[in-house]
Amino acid sequence: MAMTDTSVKAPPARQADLAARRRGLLAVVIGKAPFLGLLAVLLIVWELVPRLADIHQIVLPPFSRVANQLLSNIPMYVVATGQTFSLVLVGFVAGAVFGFLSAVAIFYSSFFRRAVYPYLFAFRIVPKLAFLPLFLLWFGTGATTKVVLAATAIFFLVLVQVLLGLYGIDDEFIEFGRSLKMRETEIFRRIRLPAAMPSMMVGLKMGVTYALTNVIVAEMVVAHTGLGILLVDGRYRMRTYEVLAAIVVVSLAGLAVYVAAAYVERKTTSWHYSE
Amino acid sequence: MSGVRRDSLGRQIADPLIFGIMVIAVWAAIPVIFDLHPVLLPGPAAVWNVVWEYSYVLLPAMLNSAGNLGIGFAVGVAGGIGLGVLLHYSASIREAVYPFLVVVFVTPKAVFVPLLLLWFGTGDLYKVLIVLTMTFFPVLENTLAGLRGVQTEMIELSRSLGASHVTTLVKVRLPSALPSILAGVKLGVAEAFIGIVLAELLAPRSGIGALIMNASRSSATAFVIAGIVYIAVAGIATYFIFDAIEKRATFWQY
Repeated sequence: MAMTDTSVKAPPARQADLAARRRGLLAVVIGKAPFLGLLAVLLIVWELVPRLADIHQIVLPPFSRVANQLLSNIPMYVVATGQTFSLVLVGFVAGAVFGFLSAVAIFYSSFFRRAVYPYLFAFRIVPKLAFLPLFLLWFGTGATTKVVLAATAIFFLVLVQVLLGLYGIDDEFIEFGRSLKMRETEIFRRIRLPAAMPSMMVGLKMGVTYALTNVIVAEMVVAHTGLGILLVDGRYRMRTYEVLAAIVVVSLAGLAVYVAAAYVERKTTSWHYSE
Repeated sequence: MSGVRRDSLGRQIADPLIFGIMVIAVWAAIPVIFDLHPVLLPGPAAVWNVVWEYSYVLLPAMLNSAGNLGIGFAVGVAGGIGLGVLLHYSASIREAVYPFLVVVFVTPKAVFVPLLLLWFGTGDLYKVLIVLTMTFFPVLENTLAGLRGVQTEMIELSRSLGASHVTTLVKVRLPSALPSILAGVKLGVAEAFIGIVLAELLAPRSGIGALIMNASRSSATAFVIAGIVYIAVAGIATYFIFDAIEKRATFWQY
């Protein structure tokens, strides 16, 4: 699955990166010159165009207005991010644990394997967000709806990915384990589980972004807390700078999640990526 | 797939059917046993009735959504492949633009909704743009990965035979990258469906997402579930159409 791969940079670029690191900070800055240059140009354009072209604040506030909003309200953004992420975390853990256990149960039951597999693959395509209106009716407008929505997204991804991983194991490894007189629990722990790990990590990595999306959408629809309400609030008050500031915060949060997920993936499946 | 014992065809068909009937039976039994009000959980029969009787409302709403989804998806796929080719050829553009793309890629696209609503209102353009951004990234990622994976021998051979850069791109690079690109398009289908549902839930004006959001506000639970059924069927059907296209276009892989 290429889209979830972090090694998106071209190999030569990465080599240049490593070489640059050896040569020190200045070289890194020079190495990133195209990006930093473009960033500077964009920020200057963003600052100047609204002022010079006399564009109304509602349409596009200058960059400094957004930066000011961000810097003078840091505690508020930290609290909102915390509120959103605590829900994402609870949903993530619940969905992942339940998904993993279900996958193992399905794996060891030949009836459920045959019976559930086709539905799972079809259901993977259905946007879980479509269940938001139903969950609102069932669980109300509080935290439960958001946690359940996040958990649902993770659950199916982890379930499918763990099953794919467990089925993808080469028979020879299992035979090898049996020839060493390993019991099935031992085979599971020492052969099946590690082999299914990379696939499961792909599911978790994709899942965490979906969970974040689902919680934020739910917050935008009903909530009184979190990052979602900051976004909606800014729009209703026609304060575009508040909307843009909230977008920056969510982008940073998304980036942090992505980097953390990639790090965990590297650590848990290091043998898989041995180059 | 190794590790899976061959099952008889009969069981492969019978077991999913049995499971499906089991689920529907449990669903039908729960409201009766626990004496639940239909607002809490309508039975499968009630939902089935809505699916048919209100198809004159649900179907046009679904088609409305499908229109916006189709346009956004098509532009997103074209843009993803186009930018993928551009970034593949120009290292300096890639280095300049890529960090921005990564940031937008990892940001839940829902955050752009308030801004797009401020700029473009709640009409079709806003929904098309959301679908477009969601489709774009998996296609771009997989186009880049596919082009990077082309064997250099093939490119050298084609160049040594006097093929121009354009010919090499059209006849060698893109066909070699096709399996990866189509895998990205399939991921894009799922993302596009999330996009249209998200856009319509957050600005419920028209389309199937708006319909179920408003039904939820008036506690019409059977209607909400019927709407989800429509979305699910449309999503699954679209996915399998693209799955078939992929298998056909990259037949040498199968």
